[in-house]
Amino acid sequence: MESVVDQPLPRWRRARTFGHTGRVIGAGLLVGVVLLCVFVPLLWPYGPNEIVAPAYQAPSWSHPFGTDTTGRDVFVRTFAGGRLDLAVAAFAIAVSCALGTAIGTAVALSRRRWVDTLTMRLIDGLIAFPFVVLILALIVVVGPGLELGPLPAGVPALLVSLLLVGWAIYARLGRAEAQSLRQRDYVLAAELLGYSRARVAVRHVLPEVWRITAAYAVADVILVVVVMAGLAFLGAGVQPPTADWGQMMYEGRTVLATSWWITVLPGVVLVLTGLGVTLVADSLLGARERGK
Amino acid sequence: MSAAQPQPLLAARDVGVSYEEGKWAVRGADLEVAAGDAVGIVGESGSGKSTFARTLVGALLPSEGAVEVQGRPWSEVSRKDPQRRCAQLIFQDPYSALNPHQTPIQTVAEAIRHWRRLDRREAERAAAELLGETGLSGDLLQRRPARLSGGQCQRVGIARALACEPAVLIADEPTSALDASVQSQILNLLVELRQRRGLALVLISHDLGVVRYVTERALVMCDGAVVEAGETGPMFAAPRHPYTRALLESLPGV
Amino acid sequence: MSAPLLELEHVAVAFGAARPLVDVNLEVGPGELVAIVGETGSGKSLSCRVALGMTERLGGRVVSGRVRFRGDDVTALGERGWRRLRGREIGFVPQASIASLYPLGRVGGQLKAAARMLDPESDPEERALELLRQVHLPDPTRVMEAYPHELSGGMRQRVMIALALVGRPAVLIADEATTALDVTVQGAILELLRELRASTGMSIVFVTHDLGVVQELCSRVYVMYGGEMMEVGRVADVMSAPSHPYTRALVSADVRHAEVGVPLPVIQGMPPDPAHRPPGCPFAPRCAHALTECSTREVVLGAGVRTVVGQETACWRAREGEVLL
Repeated sequence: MESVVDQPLPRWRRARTFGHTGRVIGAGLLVGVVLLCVFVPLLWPYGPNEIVAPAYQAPSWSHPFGTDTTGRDVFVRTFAGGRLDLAVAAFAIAVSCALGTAIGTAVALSRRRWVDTLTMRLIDGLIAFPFVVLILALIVVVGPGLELGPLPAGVPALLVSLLLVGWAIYARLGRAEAQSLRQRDYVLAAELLGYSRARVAVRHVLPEVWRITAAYAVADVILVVVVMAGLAFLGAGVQPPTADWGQMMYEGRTVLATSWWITVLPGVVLVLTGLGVTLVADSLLGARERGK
Repeated sequence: MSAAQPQPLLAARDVGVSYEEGKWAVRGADLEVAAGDAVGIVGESGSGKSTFARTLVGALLPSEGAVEVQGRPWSEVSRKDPQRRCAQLIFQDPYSALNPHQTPIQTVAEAIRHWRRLDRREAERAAAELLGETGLSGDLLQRRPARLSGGQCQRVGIARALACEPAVLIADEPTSALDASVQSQILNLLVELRQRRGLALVLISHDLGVVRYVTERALVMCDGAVVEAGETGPMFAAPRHPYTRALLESLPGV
Repeated sequence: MSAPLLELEHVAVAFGAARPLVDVNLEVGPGELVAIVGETGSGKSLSCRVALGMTERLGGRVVSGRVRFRGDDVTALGERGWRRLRGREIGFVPQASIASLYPLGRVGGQLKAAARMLDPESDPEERALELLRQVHLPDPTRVMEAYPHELSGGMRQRVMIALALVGRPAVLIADEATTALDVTVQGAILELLRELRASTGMSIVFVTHDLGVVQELCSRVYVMYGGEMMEVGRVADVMSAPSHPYTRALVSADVRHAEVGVPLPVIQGMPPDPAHRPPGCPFAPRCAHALTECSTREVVLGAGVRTVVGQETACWRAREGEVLL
């Protein structure tokens, strides 16, 4: 085809969308929540499992989020729980994303057909199965009460099952992207220059694939946090007495009408975190589309 | 290549490419390219000229016949063989031809280091020199492709191809995505490189004006077959095949 | 010449701090075939969008100058007013591309939908068939049933032209309408445009980067550079005796007329960045003939600089009688 290529839009013509403001607000929210999660458990006068006052106390100056069913401080529990939840989610996703991206790229560039077919069937199988059900099944197999080193009960099982399932979606995403990159002229140029297949994969295909999967991963963090919270209601998440958003909301649900703060306030923090993550992820994905 | 060794750089014999049973994108194409030659391949979209170009550079193995590079078929040439560097491709879309994450210096230095034992600093110096030869210098060398113009990207692509010291450049519509004033710069560069480095050029184009200006011999392709071949000047002055005549007549503004 | 149909008078357009159009003049008479020639970033496509009332939709603003249609000032016409003009008075044909037609609808359906909207008097089916015949598509009934991807590039471009003709516009704006096509197909589309103009009497504004195509088709040509018109005149005059140094460079860079073995003339440097425009003539930094006043004093079309031959020129060096070497 003889066509004048679409030049990248000159800077002055790039649509000015919500992207920039959204990213600032999102990043602000996220940084705020993360800072609170780090510093509140360190600096707050009470520990998350300490019984500090009578139960069911409404929010006050000394207990900004009130106290829970056993008289623990909801404020410190919210952020201690947030620290654990976000750390588990971030770690699980970072590893899944790195693993999945590498597998997907390798599969896409592999010359052996059966490697691709086999891996894709496995991935399709994993993705076709409802995520929560699969996680639940794996947790039961690993054992929800298992403690491992510094990891409190419930967390090892969660991590293992998240990793076993999580990589699949990134592998599929990475494979699709790597396959379309394979058609690009610069990848052909690299092959014609005699570069090894490893070099072509790592230097010329992976950086672009990574951009896509990483942006997706940011959005995924909140999904995992929500799933973890949901698992608490099924008794399969982080085990009490360790603070965790899902566990806290679960415990507070019976007294929602009278002591709303036990459930609602951790929920609000969860929603704000989700909002921040979504805004940042959207602007990352949007920047990619506009950059083309 | 010395006179005692009259082996051509590239020799395509009876090349056929078929993507689908019974349908031929290219069929029965022959071409020999010797050192310093300038050969044009003319045709419209769907004529098979780009497919043929890809077999010449070894990016695609023909389903029928073979292309030999310095006497060896591409099917036997591995990535590490010295023949691999003999032919390089210049692309139509200058942006998609470059890795968006690499600056011109990185792009060219990577190619240089792949074929020569140089440390990073030496390779970057050689890359800057090569980019200078293709007409790029200064802060342009440190920019990502998105911040370069189409013509500048095309120069980077040419420098990258030169980095492995090829004997043939195969340019697939190298200027059709560029503005007229940039087109003339790139054509001048290709002609100059051919003279200065003794490179052979294979120019694939739909633009007969470009082919007339750059090449000495040309093939006209239509529906996957070579319909006319000969010296460019005489052939365009007195086309024998009706298709060549039709192409020349529809050239606007001449 | 009778009263012009479509006019742009000293139009300047801003996108934030950038000024992609600085001074655009265009006059299209009834039944005229006018070309706008320019390279990437010259502002030729944006000028079309201004003439279609799309500036604001793209995020820009007309900061000065006037757009007139049939003598009425339409510069500040709102979106609703423009909707009455677009398609009915001013038609548009984009660059031939698979993306220009809705991929999931049959050609006939798309034409009929346009006919129902723009030409409610007629029977949509009849009108669609008539249009397909008008653009010389073989076997119109079969084309009606086809999806865009089933047609060749040339056929799709004919469908695009048919779509632009639905509302019987008085002016047809074609933006690089033959650029992506093969030369033989391009020739046929140019022939079709010529014929449509003769049979319908509409005016055509043909925007292109290809000087050769201009010579084939048009009677007058505007040469655009850096968001300004550099030169306007009859095509034959501009091609044989270009008066602006930019036009001159563009004509001489054309490889079709080059002598084999002699390096092609080139224009050094880069076009101006619309966000940081130099004062004076936008071409001055690259011009071999520039005077000191070129880079200080703005010169625009209509300032009265006219050459012996008759084209108007935005160049201080092309004042009456002055001959460039």
